Amino acid sequence: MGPWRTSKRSRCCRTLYDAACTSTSWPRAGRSAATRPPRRPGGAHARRAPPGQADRGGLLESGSRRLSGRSGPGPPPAKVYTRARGERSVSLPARDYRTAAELLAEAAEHAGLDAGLCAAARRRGEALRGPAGLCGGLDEAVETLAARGYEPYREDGAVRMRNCPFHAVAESFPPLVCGMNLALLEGLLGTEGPVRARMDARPGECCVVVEEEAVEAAPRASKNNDD
Amino acid sequence: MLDPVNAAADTAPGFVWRLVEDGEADATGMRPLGEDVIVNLSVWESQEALWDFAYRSGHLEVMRRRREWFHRHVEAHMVLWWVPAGHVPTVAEALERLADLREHGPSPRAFTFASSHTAAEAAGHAPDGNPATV
Repeated sequence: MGPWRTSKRSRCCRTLYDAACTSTSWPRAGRSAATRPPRRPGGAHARRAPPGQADRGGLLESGSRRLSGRSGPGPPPAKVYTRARGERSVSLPARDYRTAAELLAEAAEHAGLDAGLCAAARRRGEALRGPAGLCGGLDEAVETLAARGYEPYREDGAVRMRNCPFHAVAESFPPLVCGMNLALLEGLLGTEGPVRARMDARPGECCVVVEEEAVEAAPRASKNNDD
Repeated sequence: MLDPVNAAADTAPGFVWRLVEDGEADATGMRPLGEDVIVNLSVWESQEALWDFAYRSGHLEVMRRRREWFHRHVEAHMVLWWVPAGHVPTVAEALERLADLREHGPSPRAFTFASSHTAAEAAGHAPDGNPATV
């Protein structure tokens, strides 16, 4: 335990926030949440929480919804939480890396520097991977991606990601920044091992999917090949 | 590569219409701006529908590799505007809107993803319409 003690109430709010994050992705306004089937009953997460506490601070958005999907008599609507669409960041002392990122991305876009940016991203991914070697399988990929904030989850034998860590700049310069992201993940996971990062964009999520390479094309895929 | 992408567009949510040369599968043979420029003109129900197809579908992978096939435009090369429901825009109309964007910047008449305008804002120009893009 460090000097920062957490109260039972703050732990409850953290649990609620984590639950809301894992049950819905990060929808752009009115764009994707309505068209994607929910991953859990009700889509968003219903849970008892201290009234007005969990959504204080703007981290969560709440509304009332009948989780049964039926109208008419029955239990009253549940309070349903979803992650707020806005972003929060804290920096002490004040820093503004987002403006810097947007300006650099704008300059790279106008100068057509996609190839150079992707090469830098691939090198960075390889450096982050370090001496640990190639990613050994999808379970390891989930751990690696979770540690970098991608919020990975398994679906149909692949790993998809709910969160794009570069969301704001990716929205402004999608081909440039999504290409950078793919190159970063190719460097991080490797392109010669048992898993492959591939661009497979769909609304509301990271544009990359991680899949196992076919065994015949990757004979070293025996280290962690459990999916 | 073009055929699968065009087929995906044709079945994408919100797709209304795209420019196709007579007797062809696409519009790549039309060169109204010179031999080295192709045009892409389509109508969508909403700006969000166009965005999701362009950047949140298999189209993004093609966009990611765009430098392999295209030189970079110095001037604005994409424009959106609202058209009345049922209206099929022409290439000449698209070039007018692009010229408007280049000359005056984004406005309800001609705008971009980064500086968009609603159909209501464009009501004086093209009421009750769908966004079209070139």
